[in-house]
Formats: sequence, structure tokens, C-alpha cells
Amino acid sequence: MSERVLGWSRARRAAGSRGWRGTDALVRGTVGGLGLVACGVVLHRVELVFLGAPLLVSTVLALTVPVGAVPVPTVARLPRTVEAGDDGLQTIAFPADPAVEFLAVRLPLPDGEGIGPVHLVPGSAGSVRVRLRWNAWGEGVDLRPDHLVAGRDALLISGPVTGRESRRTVLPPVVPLPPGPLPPRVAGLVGAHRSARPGDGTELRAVRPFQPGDRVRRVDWRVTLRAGAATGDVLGPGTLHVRERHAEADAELMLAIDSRVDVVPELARWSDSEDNAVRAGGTLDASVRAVTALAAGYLRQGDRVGLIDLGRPQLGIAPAAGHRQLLRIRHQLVACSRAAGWAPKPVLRARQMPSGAVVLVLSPFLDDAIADCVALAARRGELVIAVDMLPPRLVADPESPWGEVVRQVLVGEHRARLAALKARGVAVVPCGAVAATLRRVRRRR
Amino acid sequence: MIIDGGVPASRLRTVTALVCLAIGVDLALHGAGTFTVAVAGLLSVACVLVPASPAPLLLIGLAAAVLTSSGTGAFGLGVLVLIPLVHLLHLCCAITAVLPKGARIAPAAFRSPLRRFAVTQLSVTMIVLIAMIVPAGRTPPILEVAALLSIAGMALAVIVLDRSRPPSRDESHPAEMA
Repeated sequence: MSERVLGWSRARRAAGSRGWRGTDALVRGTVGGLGLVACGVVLHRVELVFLGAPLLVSTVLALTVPVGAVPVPTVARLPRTVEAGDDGLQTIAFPADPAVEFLAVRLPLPDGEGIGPVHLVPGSAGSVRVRLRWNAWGEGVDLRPDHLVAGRDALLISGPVTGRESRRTVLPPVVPLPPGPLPPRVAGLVGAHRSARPGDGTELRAVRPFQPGDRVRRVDWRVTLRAGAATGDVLGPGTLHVRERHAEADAELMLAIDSRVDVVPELARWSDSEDNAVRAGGTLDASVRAVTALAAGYLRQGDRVGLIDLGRPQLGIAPAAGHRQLLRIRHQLVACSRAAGWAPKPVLRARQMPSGAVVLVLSPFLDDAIADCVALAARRGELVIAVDMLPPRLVADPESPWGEVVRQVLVGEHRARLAALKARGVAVVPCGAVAATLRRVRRRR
Repeated sequence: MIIDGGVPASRLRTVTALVCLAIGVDLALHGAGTFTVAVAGLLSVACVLVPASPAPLLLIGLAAAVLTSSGTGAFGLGVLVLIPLVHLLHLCCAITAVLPKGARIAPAAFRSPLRRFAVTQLSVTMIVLIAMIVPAGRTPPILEVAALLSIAGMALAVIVLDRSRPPSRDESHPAEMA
């Protein structure tokens, strides 16, 4: 008997070393059950035995299956970068053990936010699958499977163990946008746009008299013969005419995002902190979506697009073309939003803007610094277009007696700032009118 | 198994509260005084709010003491009703104690505990029925004591025998989650 007791104590020690420990329920079942039965025997009251019997019997039944090694959940890997709106099935597998009755694991709800609540699932399930939906773009933790394993009747438990965080980058969605024609970059040699200067393109620019240096194959013989017939001197001086064509040049678009501020229509929420997250429906969210849409549209037609972060100049991307550039910009937008809100004043230097590029500045224009910055860039001779991202209708703080006054002051200042920009020759447009404005600007050029 | 939300764990606390209420009503109907019922009420609140505490054990002990002293008798309705209630309270508190606030439960998780609950209740009912048909005055008291002690001894023996069995699984300490 003593050997068996020793063996029992060794098994208890082994269970303890594997991470199992008894709960209050184990104490209750053992002490309560045995105590009531013992009291019933001592006091000769059978009802105490009846009341203690279920506790004792259930504890004995629960402990009949010995616990083994603590099952360790294994989390299947999902891609680190996903598209906004996508979903995926995350599988968490754990070895089935007859002694393990419950697994409490923290998993996100299908339509919930964050890492979600703890779910109690049967230990015999073997694997748990949960559907993850990435609705909001940005970078964050979407899974942290904290877990606790419990034996029968939760008399023995192991844990809780904090799970490893799964960080994921959700790229901003690409909304199709009809792109407008960009003015060609003067320095460009090849590209998709018709340049104002003569060159080797396909579009006819003019028919003019032959000049030294013109190629013979450019001679328009029909016009030359007509001119010769009119003067009576075929191939005489002044009768030879050539067809002159437009040059084709590439265009560069620099998208400047103001990551210093992120405001929503409700003024009362402007000072709220949301764990450095981008506010859904805020100006930064709208700016990022607009930048993604513009970049996708112009890159699709072969233009070169770059990115400027007015809050953090080091996060900018030099202009380039192609699908990889769109991916680069979307990744960088997530990085910009992660570091948003820390810069005191905007930075828009001349070396950030290639010569001849069109610069779109997307900002809510809530301070004079950004207006001065844009005006200075326009004074350097760049084509700068200010895209106003402030929500069209601001909502005053209903709990403050000065709420409406504050709203009117903000709106008035904002209007004056935009008027000052217009007076300095900067086109100010709402977010949806960028393509039309570019078209208008091109005609003017 | 696909997680689809399940039921909130607060429902388990609701069940605990209902069980505690039933125990309180049982005590009140069987001669418990106002003070005793008030103490049972406080313990019930503690059971619901802090299930991982001695409160459930104290409530079970209080209920057993009250019904024993009330003279209801071993086979009275108060005792017979209290047997499953006590067991249910023990089970609900045990499961609730391992769940944090806001947790959710897959109903399939209750399948095995409820099956074992039914088996336990069936075996206890059998014990009660056997005790009912055994003549009260003809068995020598020493024999009754020996029988009851043997029940407790058997329970202990089952635990000892089972726990001394060498573990069949790998004894390596769980590494960090892969």
C-alpha cells in the first residue's frame, strides 16, 4: 500500500512538472465529498452521505483518466500581408487527449475586432478553426491564441499561457478611379503622353517648310507637290515641306499625404486617442484610400507615381512605374499611418518633387503650416494641386456650450486658408474632382 | 470544429445563480431562519461572482448542516432535491472558474460533463434507493459504519490506483507554442 501511495505521489509530482495543477473544484470535490461522507458516518446521518456522494463520485470519475503531457496548440501560418476585405480560415490544432476535456482558447469572432474573447471548446475537438476577416487596413495583431487546458470537470488545469501574436499587414483597398491625363514631364524622352515639343512620336504636330537637319523621310510629298504646283517651281526653295510630330513623354505624379492629423466629422472626437490606430472614416483613412486609388489609376496607364509623407519625409517613395510600385506605395502607406500624428510641422522640400512632376497634396488643411508649405512649393514653379480632405460637414460638440462657435471658427479659418492658396495660384479641389482638375490643368498648359 | 461564436459564458453564471436560488428556496422551505437564508444568499452571490473561491463549498456545507439539523429526514424531499443541486453547483462553479470575463462557450463542450453528471446522479440515486429499502433498525450500527467507511475507502483506492498508473504520454515539458 505504501508503494502505491508513493507511486501516487510520484504521479502527482510528474503531473505538476508537466504543468498541471489542481483547482478549487478539486479541493471542493475531495474535501467536500469526503468531509460530508465522513461527517455522515461519524454523526450517523445518512443524508450527509447522500449529499457528499455526488461530489466524491464525480471527482473519482473525473480522475480515473490520468493526465498526460499538456497539449500544446499549433497555429497554422497565414500570409503576413493580406488585402483589405479578404478572409482566411485559421486552424489551431492540438493533440487529442482523453484526459483533456476543455480547451479555453482566445480567438477572434468572425465579425469582431481585435484578438477576440476566450472560447471554451471540447478537448476532443482536435483542431479549432476560425474565420478571420480583415476589413480595416493597417498593421496590427489579429490573433493571439492565449490558451488554458482543463481536465475532466475542470479539476486539473494547465495554463493560462499567453499565445504568440500574429501580426499582419492589411493593405489599403484599391478603388478604381478614372484617371485624368497628366501633363507630360518636360525632361522625359519616352512615355505614354503627348508632349508639347516636337519629337518622334506618332501624333501629327504641324506641316512646315523643310529646314536643314530634317530627315528626308519626313517630307510630305503631297503638300510639297501642291506647293510646287502653286509656285510653278517643283522642288524649288520653299516648296519642300515636312511632317512634324509631337514628342512622347512620361509623366510623374507625386502624391503627398498629410499624416500629421487624422480627424473625423465629430469635433468632440478629435482629441480622443484610439491606440494610434487610424480612425475609420477619418481624414487619414480617406487620404490613404484616395492615394491608393490615384496611384493605381495612373500606374495602370503607364505613369510614374511617387509618395511623399508630409509628416515623415524619410518615408517617401521615389516615383516609378509598374505594379510593384503600387504594392510598394500601399505598404508604405501602412507604414506612414503607423507613424502618423507625431510630426509638428509638414515638410515638402524641393528635392522631394522631381522637376516637372505634378504634386497632389492631400490634407485637411487645418493649420497654416501646411498652407504655407503648399504655397511655397507652388512658388517654386511646380504644378501643385491641393486636395481638401476635411469632411464637408463638421459636427459641433453637443456637450460643450462653445461647440458651435468652435465649429464656425474652424470652418472659417479653413475657408480662408483655401482662399489664400487659390490666390497664390494653387488649384484647390475636393477629393473626387482630381481627375477633372488635372484635365483642365493640362488644357491650360 | 469551426468557431461560430457559441453562447456567452454569462449564461453559465445565470445557471449557477438559479441553482443557488433553488438551494436557498429549499433551505427556506425546510426550517432555515432568516439569518441562515441571508448567509446563504451572500454565499450565493459569492458563488456567482467568484466561483473560484471557497464560497461554493461553504454553501454546500451550510445547506447540508441546515437540512440535517432541520429534521427533514434522510429521504425527505429537501434532501433529495438538494443532491442534484449541490452537484450542479459544483460543476457550474468548476467550469465558470476557468473562464475569464466575456468568454464564450461552444455547447459541445458540455457533452462529456453532462454525461458524467447523469452517470453520477444515477449511481447516487441507486445508493439512495438501496438505502431506502434497507431496513433501518435491523442492521447493527457497527456494520453500517463499516459499510460507509468502505465506500469512502473504495473511492480513495480508486484515486490512488488510478493516479499511481505511469503516464502513457511523452513527459517532455511543453515548449512554446509553435
